[in-house]
Amino acid sequence: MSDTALEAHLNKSYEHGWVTDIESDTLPPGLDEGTVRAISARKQEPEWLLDWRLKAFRHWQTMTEPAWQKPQHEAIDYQAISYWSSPKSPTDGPKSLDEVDPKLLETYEKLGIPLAERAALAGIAVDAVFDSVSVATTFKKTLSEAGVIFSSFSEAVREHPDLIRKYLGSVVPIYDNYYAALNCAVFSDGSFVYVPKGVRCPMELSTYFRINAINTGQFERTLIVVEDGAYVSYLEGCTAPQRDKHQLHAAVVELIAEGNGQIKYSTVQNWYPGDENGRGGIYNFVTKRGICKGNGSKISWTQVETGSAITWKYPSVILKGDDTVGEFYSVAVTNNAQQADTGTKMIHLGRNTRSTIVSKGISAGRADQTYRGLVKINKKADNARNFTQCDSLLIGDKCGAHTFPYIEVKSPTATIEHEATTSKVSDEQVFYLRQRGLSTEDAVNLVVNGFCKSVFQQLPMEFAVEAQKLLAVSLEGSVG
Amino acid sequence: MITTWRSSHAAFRDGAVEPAWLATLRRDALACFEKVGFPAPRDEAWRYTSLQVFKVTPFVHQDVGANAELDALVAAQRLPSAVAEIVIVNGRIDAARSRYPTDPGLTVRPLSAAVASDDTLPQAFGRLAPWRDVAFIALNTAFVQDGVVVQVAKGADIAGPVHVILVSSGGAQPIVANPRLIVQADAGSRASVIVSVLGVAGATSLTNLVEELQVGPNAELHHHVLALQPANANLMLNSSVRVERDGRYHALAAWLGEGLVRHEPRVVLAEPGASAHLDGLYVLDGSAHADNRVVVEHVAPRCISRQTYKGVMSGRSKGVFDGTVIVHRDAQHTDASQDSRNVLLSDDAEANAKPRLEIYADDVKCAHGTTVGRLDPEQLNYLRTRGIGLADARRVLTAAFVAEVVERLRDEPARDRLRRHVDARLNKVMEAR
Repeated sequence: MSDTALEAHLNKSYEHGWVTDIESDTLPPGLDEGTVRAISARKQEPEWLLDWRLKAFRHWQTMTEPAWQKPQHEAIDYQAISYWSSPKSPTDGPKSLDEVDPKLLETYEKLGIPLAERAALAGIAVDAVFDSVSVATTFKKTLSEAGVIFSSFSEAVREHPDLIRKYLGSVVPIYDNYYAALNCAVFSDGSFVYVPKGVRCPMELSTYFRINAINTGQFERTLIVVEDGAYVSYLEGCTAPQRDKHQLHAAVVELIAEGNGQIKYSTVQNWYPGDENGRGGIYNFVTKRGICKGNGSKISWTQVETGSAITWKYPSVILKGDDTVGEFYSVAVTNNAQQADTGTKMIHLGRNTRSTIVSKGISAGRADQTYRGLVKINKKADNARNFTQCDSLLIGDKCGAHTFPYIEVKSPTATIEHEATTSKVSDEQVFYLRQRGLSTEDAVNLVVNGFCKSVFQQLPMEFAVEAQKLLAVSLEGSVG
Repeated sequence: MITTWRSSHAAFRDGAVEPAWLATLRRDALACFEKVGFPAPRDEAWRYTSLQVFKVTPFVHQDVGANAELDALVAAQRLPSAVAEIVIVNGRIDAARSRYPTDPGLTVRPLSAAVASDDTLPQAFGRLAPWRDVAFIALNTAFVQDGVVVQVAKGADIAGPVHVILVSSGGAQPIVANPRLIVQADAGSRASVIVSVLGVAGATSLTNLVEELQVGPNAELHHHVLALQPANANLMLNSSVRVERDGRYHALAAWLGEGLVRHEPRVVLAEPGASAHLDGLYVLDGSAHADNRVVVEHVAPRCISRQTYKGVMSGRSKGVFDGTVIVHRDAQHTDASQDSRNVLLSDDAEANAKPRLEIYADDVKCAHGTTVGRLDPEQLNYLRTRGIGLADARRVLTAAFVAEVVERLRDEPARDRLRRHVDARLNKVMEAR
């Protein structure tokens, strides 16, 4: 590809970048106990939850921001962030789609969310989060017939307080890390999924997150619980409008799988990465962790990370029960000035536990990418098995790719294999494909798609298609 | 604790006569040591190794006189092929037990002699080792008593190894030794340097060795360190290596002792075409602890590096491989690999690995692999069906596992010696089970 074409792409602006102009009920910027109380009051939360938030907030105040990570960013002014923003709606809340603000629907339309009839065709139940408050939920009936609870977090607090109280913070405690503690204190809303004993969730659950109001950090919480022998597949996808200012996204995701329960959690993340000089863009600092609590349970994370100025997250699995399985499949693409520090932790505690890690990193432009992971085999984890493959692909001579795996083994019965490679798209591969009539760009796309195939195969089909498109768009213009 | 070192420095320096540059360097290094301090408990670089012993033990410098046990210890490790054999006891050269080479292409001198007479030493001493940043190197620089300076002349091909034997004598007091080894292999030369670390069982000791190795253009340097120290004998080893255009550096670090070893090789492939092969081998038992923190920097294009570390852990021992390959922006056509293979033989043994790649250039080939496991039950079964007992089968498989690294050692007598020690240790490990 010629230099001009390359430049043309680099100058191409973010296609999902627009701002929906609707009235927002927003708290003034600033963070103190009053902010936490105000959020809790607006959400009409019970006393125990306010206490929990305050405990987290007080602990957060004693913590310092971590500094060991590879990505560098300007200092975040936590007092300059507004911690509450909800679309103005009738006091009772919308009863049906007709009552939903048409501008909101328009936004969903642009995002292609199958909220109305299209939802039925797509076979997906959507709990759409627009900024901080869930405004519409579909397929409630089908799900409730199966006994599955899929609702916004606030609704779950009102209607299933016992479940929330039992599981909230049980995987990611409030003391866990700086951003998780912040999330515990000021989380706005999120999703709650509960699949009862023996139920296979009848459809794939999906939630679209979207950050919309300027200077509003979004603090989501997702809690998924599957009981004995239950199964759920959860899809999370994101796009965000173009902004000039960095926005902080510090979410917490907790997964709990009881005996023989299975959770498949897939993410396609395509938030605004900032312009070619790294201005603007989302800071995506997320804590995701699951626990295979009961024997024979399984948690699988699949992620495709193409957006955000900085992606910094380690979806992890604690393999507590015997015969449990943890999986992590990841494709991360960084271009221009994007930075990513991502990976996973597999903590083997139970017997005969197995984990698989497949991580594919693609770095282009001036981007920097790091795989950081931990595989820990405890003394009691007899016959633990781990296989890790993390590969990096470099496109261009100004990007970086780094691999920092930690392997800690305390059991002689463990079998651990870790492999990593770093290479570029070889000239021979491109030459071969060009001989057969493909353009350089198509050739590179083909090679890159092949490179990522083992991860894409893990995605639900709708996402797999989207992911491949995203990949092509993200890398467009980075080769020539 | 750091103040203890400061006051002991005053006593250590009392009455010493040496050139002004060295006195200044020592003073600066002491200041750096005080500033840097020992690694804090949560220091990432020391994640798997506790420095508790250094915080509570007042180490002292100590001379030793005639000692039959020590004589026997040294005699057993001598290499017949060595062209020079320098014995350093508790950080000081033992002239009576040492012999120097006659080959014109090779100069081997005590550091103390070089300090007094060699004008070029101030440039070489402290040039490669980052004494401003690393506590143990600063400590060595401030407290160095003696050491060995090896110079290989341009084009010289030295057949036998220069053998440096470091011994810490047993005694009532915990002993510290701060020896230094400086090697300069000039253009087109070929030589090998072997360091053996020994100790008389009993007292606690710390051998804080700093090595500065310069491999000139198209030169080839073989470097082998064998540690056989008893329990409570600690070895801190910082090896700084610089390889120039088309130079070749081959290293084999073998940890077969019972104490603690922390090895920090820092290899800089400074000019195009340079290569480094770093092998490691440890067979640990009891409470032995080996921590390898390897950093290979590819600064120039077309350089090759290989790391192959093999660990066998038994008893309550702990093996650590923490290797980093850094590929700088201009180091295109880099070919680097890291390999850390571990076998755990007991319930309480531990293996930790952190193979890291930091890559800033795109046209590179970098890979790393790590495995941790036990001996293959099928292979064991195969041998047992052929009438080989379980203990022997395990011994055979473990010996085969480490053989790859052992067999790469260039000097034959040294290779035989290493094989002997590996076998002896494996026998001991298998018997203990």
